[in-house]
Amino acid sequence: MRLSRRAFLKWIAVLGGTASLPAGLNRLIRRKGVPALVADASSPGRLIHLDHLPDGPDGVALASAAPLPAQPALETSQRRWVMVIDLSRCDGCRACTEACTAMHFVPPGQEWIKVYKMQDNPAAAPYWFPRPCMQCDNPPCVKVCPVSATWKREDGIVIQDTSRCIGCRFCIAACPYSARYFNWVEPPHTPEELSRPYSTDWNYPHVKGVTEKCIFCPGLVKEGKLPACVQACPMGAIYFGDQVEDAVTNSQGETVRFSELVSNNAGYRFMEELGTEPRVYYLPPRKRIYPAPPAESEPAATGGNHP
Amino acid sequence: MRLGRNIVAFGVLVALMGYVLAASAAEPAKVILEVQTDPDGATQVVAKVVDDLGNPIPEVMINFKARMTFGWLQLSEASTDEEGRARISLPSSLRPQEVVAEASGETGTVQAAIKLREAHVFEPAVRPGRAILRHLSPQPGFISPYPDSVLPLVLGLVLGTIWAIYGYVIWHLVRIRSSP
Amino acid sequence: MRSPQLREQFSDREVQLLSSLTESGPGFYGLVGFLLAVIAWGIIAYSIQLRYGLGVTGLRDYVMWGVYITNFVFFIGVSHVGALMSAILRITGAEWRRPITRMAEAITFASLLMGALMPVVDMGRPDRILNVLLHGRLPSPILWDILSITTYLTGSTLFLYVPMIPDIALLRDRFAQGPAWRRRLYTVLALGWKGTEEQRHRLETIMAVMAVLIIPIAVSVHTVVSWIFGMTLRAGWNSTIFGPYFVSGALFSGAAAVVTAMAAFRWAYHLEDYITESHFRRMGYLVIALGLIYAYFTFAEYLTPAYKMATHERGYLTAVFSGPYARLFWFTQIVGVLLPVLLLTLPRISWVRRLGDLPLFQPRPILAALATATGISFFLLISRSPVAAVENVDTIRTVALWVVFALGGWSFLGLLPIFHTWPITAAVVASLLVNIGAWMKRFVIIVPTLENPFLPIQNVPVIWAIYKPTWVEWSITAAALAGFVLIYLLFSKLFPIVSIWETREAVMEPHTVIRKEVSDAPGA
Repeated sequence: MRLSRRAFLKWIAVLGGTASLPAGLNRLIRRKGVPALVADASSPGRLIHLDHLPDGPDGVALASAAPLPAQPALETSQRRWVMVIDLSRCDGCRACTEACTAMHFVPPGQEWIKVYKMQDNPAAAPYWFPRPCMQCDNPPCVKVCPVSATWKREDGIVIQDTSRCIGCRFCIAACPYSARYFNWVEPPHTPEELSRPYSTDWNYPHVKGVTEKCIFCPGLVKEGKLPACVQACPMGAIYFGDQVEDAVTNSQGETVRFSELVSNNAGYRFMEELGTEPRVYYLPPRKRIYPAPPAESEPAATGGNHP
Repeated sequence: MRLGRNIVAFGVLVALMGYVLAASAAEPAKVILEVQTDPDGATQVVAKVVDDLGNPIPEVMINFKARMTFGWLQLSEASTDEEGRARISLPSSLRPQEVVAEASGETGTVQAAIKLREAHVFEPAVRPGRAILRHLSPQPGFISPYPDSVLPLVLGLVLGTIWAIYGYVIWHLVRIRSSP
Repeated sequence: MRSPQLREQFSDREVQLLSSLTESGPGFYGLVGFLLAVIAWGIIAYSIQLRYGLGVTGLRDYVMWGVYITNFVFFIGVSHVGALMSAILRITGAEWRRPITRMAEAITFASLLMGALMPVVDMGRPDRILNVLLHGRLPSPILWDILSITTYLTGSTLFLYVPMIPDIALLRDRFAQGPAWRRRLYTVLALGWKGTEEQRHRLETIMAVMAVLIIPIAVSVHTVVSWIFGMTLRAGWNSTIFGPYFVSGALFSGAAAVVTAMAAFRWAYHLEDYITESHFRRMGYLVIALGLIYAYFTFAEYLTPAYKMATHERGYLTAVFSGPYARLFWFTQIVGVLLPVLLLTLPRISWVRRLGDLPLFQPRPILAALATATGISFFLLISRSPVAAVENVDTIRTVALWVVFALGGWSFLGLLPIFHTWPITAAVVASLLVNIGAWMKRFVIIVPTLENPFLPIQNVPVIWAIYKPTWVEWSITAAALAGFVLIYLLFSKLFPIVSIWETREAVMEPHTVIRKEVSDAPGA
């Protein structure tokens, strides 16, 4: 069923009138010097050809498809951010930590994503182990917070509100991953840090006497960008994405299906036995594409060792 | 007459050549994308490739890509059949915002996109606070096997009993004070 | 007595019990001045902490709870016994309790106030304390703590106050001395008590209700305190018996604190007629029993993980048994539990007295043994590094250490006849040791677990991985202790620390232990 040109142009005019619609709605049809295809409003889900479309910006023809009745848009609660860290790619360069520290103006002494050197047993080779906040689905820190300064967002992020935190440090005690940090003294400030009003999305400016942690960069994610550590990883070892959508992307632009990536590579979650249900998955350090960390220096077994 | 015959013959020749030329240069001109949802929830994406005259073109490799939040996911490649159709089925777990079918010919690439969902900006709705005391379910996705009302109920019962007894004691104290 | 007027109004017994309210010697003012100085110093330390943040403490991201939380658990523990012990003794009708219940209940009151203050001192943002009320989350054990401590404080205040009403009425009626505010206070607090039949009946009802009610509340408070640790996943805290373990430890240290208080008041206020040796003996039995229960719980708590040595638990167990906290841990077990129990038990055994007749246990050999032990210890201390370089030196040091232990044991045995002669001294020494050990044990529960998290401690300065409290923490701790003593002291200056009407009642009842003891005692 074809859309007559006149009817279509009328429709475009209506669309133009409702300019408040998000820009993404209008950019449906891409055209690369070939006839474009537009949607037919009367038969949703089907794109048909129409000659001589008026060109929109970026050589994209303007048109719009009616929303599919069988495929509703993702509801707000249907985002579940997830991270996959491929230990076979991590070479321990700590670029993630540096990028995170720079992006969030993380106070000195804190590493919101910390790269550990781990060795599971004497026979196994050591490997690098980046540890962000695990954003647990059964978060011990959220359970014990007396003032809801930390809570579980609908999209899976365990957020931290330093404007409400009373500094009791119960969450630090509860976190089995040592992923929470405390501002013991007034953090050093920079003008850039102070320029933005405080919001939980960015979690700065920092203040004294509160707990801080990795929060999966909701500010960047809202802008459609990957979190700072993911962007910065030169090895593409960190994937980030939406579990509902079932896709994760790394810094090298590789987008893969989350379920396939984890199931095909024996993905696991760290300390699954604690039942915290982390949202960070690890791929075992098998067939590493970098040299293993030196074995002799700091002891790195679980169970806690003094450096 | 002869001229006319020649002209006709030439015309036929040109037409034949044109036909042959046209047929041999059957470049993919349009890709028509269609999405069908099966009753079991699986989604079929069908791309039909036709030339300028609207004839279906078989054996064209179609590359399907899906637009995810942070990048393009390569779905798979499929070749068109006799009717010029290539189809893939989207896994039900996958929820792309947009699916693109790309057919490459000699003169260029024909691309068609179909939008499945809005690319929405996520704004968390819940900001726990007093809401917790009112209706103790502010944190979706929080794994807890217990009904939300158990804790305030138990605490309220225990503490209520204790404080009621304190009240009883204080009532006695007031009576001591007011006794003649 | 200073005032002849007092002598006219009151009986001899009352004069004796009330003398602490009227007479304040230089010792009292000196003590109060000293305590106020310590508190002022603590306030200075706290203001420095407020100004510069908790960075002035030894706490860091790994060991983020330390001395303050130790104090919190310790004070809540000490607060335990007062109400609980006197409630149990009231319900079971143990008549010997009468002179000491108020002391015990006042300990509860004073140490609860200090204990409740400690988490506030520990908070990073005390300015946001109202958030707990505005945004409180019921599922958080801290909220449970706040609720249970508030409930317990209210209950124990009632429990302390109600049996004091007849005494306050006595003071109101006959205590013309002192400033006007004091008489007004007594008038208000006496609630118009005239000792009528109805009033007495109501008082007895209240005490019956409160004595039953306070027991579950007291148990629940320390259980909830233990859940601050028990509700986490940390190795060493993730224990199902933490609730009863903490309750038993609290009872043990609290009973010992009562013994200390008994001895202090007996000495300072000359209460020898009321707090007799038999009270110390009975309290000693209580401390022994509670100590054995506590030792049993400690054994159960440590043996099960120590037998299995699971990956995550290995770290803190090694630290506690043989690592950096071994000395502290074994001190708490030997000097904090075993020795006090022995000190309280052995003097009751008759043959101990005969030990003093043996030549080995004469003062001179004992002093020689002590001197030798001190000398060897001193040598061990100073010779640490140079001698350690020599081969087999470990054997020498170990042998020397055992010699010190043996000499110490010998001296201890030599001291036993002395303790046998002065059982009250033995009880006081034992109870002080119990309380020192109890504080250290709380420290050993908290810190080694935090120093051994699930993930290894890497890429941080060494001082972040090892907890060393700073002077700020010690100052605030000293101030808290001083505050506890000061509240207790001022309480005893405002109200009779030994219940006047309850001991009088006991005297009038025949066939009671207290009657015999009071009448046997030399007249005041």
